[in-house]
Amino acid sequence: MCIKTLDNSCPLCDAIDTLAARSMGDQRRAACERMHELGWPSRSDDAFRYCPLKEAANTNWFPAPVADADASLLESLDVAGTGSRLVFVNGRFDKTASSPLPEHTRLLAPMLGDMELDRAADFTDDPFAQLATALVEDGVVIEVPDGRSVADPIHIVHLTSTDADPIASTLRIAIRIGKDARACVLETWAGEGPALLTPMTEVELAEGAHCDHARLVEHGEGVLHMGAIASRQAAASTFESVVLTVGGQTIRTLAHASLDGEGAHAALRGFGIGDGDRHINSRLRVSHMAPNCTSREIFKHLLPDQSSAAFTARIFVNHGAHGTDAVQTSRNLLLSPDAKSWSRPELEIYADDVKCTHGTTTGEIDPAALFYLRARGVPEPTARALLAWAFAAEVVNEVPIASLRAHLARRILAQLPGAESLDEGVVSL
Amino acid sequence: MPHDPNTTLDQWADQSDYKWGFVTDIDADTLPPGLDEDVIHIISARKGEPEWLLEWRLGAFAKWKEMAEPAWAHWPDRDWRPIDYQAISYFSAPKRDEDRPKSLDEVDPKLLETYEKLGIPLEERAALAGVAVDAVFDSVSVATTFRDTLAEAGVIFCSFSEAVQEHPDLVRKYLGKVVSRTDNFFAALNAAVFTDGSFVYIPKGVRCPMELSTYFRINQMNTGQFERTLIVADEGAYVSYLEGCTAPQRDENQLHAAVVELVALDDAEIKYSTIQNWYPGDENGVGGIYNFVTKRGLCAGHRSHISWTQVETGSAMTWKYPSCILKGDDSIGEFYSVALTNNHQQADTGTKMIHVGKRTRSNVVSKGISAGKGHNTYRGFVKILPGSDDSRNYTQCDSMLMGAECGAHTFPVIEVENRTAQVEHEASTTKIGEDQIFYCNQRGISSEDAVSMIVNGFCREVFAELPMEFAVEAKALLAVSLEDSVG
Repeated sequence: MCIKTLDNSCPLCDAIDTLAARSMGDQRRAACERMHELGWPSRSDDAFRYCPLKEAANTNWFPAPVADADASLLESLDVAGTGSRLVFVNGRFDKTASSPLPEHTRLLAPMLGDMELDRAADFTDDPFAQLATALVEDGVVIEVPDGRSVADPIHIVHLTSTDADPIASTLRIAIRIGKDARACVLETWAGEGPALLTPMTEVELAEGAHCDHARLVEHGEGVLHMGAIASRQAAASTFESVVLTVGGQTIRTLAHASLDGEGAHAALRGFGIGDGDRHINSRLRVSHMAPNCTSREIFKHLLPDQSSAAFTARIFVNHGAHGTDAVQTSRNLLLSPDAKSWSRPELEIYADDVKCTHGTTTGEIDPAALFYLRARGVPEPTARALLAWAFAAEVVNEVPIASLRAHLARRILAQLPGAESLDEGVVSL
Repeated sequence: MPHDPNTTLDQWADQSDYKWGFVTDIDADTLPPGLDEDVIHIISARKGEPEWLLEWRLGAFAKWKEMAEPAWAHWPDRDWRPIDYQAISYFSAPKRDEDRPKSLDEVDPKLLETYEKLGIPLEERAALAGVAVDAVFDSVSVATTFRDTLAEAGVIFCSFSEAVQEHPDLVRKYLGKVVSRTDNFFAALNAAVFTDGSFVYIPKGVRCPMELSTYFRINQMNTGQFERTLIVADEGAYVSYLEGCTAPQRDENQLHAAVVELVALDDAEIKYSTIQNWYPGDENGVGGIYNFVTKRGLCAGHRSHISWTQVETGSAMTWKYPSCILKGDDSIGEFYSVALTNNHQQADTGTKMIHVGKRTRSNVVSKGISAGKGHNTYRGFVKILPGSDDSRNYTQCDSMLMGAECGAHTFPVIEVENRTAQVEHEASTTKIGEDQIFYCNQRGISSEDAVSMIVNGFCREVFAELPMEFAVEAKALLAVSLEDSVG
């Protein structure tokens, strides 16, 4: 990102200017200006207190070039049971690698300027969300009409591809589900860095609508993934979202869920596994604006090596949002002496008839549990892997699509030290 | 430079080597409102402080001028009345008897009614209401009796000014070592202008024979807005210290910025209990005190133990985070808090537990009760440093809401940098159910008593930590503070 004020020689600013001449001129320019106002975040900025962004701050980011999808990489990302696969490389649609567009699904590129973006949440204080708006070139728009449901999960795959230059790109996914309609969307983010990625998914659910959503982060090294998920729900709608992180350098998820109609339900889940000095950062806000809504947040991290996780979440209960039932949980398992974890589970409550609880725990593998397994003849590395897997399973088992659960389990087990000794049956899904 | 406290400013200016060109024709006992270096010179000189302490104050002041008033606090639904630091008089000698109410007949009957409900003895009521103390009972004799007992044990318990004169080495060794003079905006202000406070030193191996209380120091009660307390427990010592009292105190100041520092050496234990009931403002949120206090304890020695217990019911706005730095191995930090807000009160309180030493433990229990349009915020910080092996923290913060217009907020921060740590945080929010009240009503218990009973049950874990007499008063205090909030 350009942090040198409004320096004309910044390649990213030039790219935004060029894009602004084509579409969304005012919106792009305003976002770009706001981004400069906010500047590149530092640790003194409370929202980025735990985010290691210093190195990236001194990087000169270039607009991502047009590139082709890496076929072997694509194959490895395949999830069985998905109805269609839409592939994007560096923020642009790759038609040859993609299946035909499924029902109720369109590409964003031809609609830029005609479609109102950033409706689901207000991210004006986040520079990366601003970049997502300023730099948007394409994306997926899923609009399911009232009473319809999309049978198969829609799989959206985004790859980053660069030769050497650090690149910046973004992709917009807009999901709008009508009354009593239903859809399931799966996002996969992969590819090598150095890259700065600002994915933005916005979800709007009408009365009684249901959306299952999973974001799978499988990046290679050097990828700074500064994503956001915004959701806005009418009465009796359900949003089930899960973010799984098994790759990348710094992965930030900014999620705002607004429960605007009575009886809406939102579940935000997250599971991340560290590797090297990977940092996983989740910043969530669930706003209970209407009575009798329920929300569940559960985020778990397995942290080996020098990896770290930060969890900042706030449950906001508005005046009059009676009957709110909200639960917020963060659990961290530190697997190495150098791993770190930071948690800030926050409640802001303005109504008295509510049930809000939050809990956070951090620790290492319970020695008593380890002893129990070893006493029964399970070798220590296997016992450790088994306990770590059990820790992960609580989130993985909640993922709505069976084939995705198996896919995730394989990804996690591949990264778990000692997991190769686990019997297939142990992790049956 | 020893000074007779009765010297007037002019006399003092004449006889001292005061060179800062301060010229004044004011009343000898009170400085005009305003804050600059001259004021600090005068406070320091008036108290006959050594040069190092003056320098220390000036250093704090220089830093304070560069600092900005904190703006991070969460204050929904309430107008911030800006504090005019230049409108405060930073030095005033204790009120002379002729300015005080002559007898209880001149005291606000509402205040007396509250004393009645709290069951405060007659003599004490007068003292608390600000009636000239000597007219009521002989404070000197009370003071002398307890001083003799303490002296026998070797315990030093005196006003801060006395300590500066009589135990300068101890004061110099520990002052500002836990809360540095530039720690935060209000601590820096306090360091620059504090006028008095308490000093306690418990020598090696001594178990303080009685509970120490600021209340005993009734003759020095008017220590003003900028109080400073320093308690040092030497190796193996034990002390229990009580601050404040349940009765609402007469006070016209807007800002209270006290600093409390505790130091516990090897095997020492300090138990610090507070009941705060400053003027909360009226039902419409007009007036009331800003209580911005910095309290911190240093478990400097191995196996040391610091325990904070507080019952906060007063003040329009409270920002208070009694903290523990667990530096010694196997040291223990505890925080037990009940904060109650009614009408337009706001309490933002919590604790910081910094685990430095190995096998350190901390326990946090916070109970927030919001009624009326009150807001209660728990703000906590638990940090386990990389070298702090096998440390544990358990935090529990529960909120109770009474009414549809109040708020309860929880903002904890948990930073774990050592895998052998076990850190747990739990929070819950509840309300008093109509069914609960109905159940009590059916059994002949009035709604008011039922609320009091339920609230007391909610706070039981904290009250259990208070010294007995304090606990009894605290229960009565909660009942009084919650009057008319239900039904």
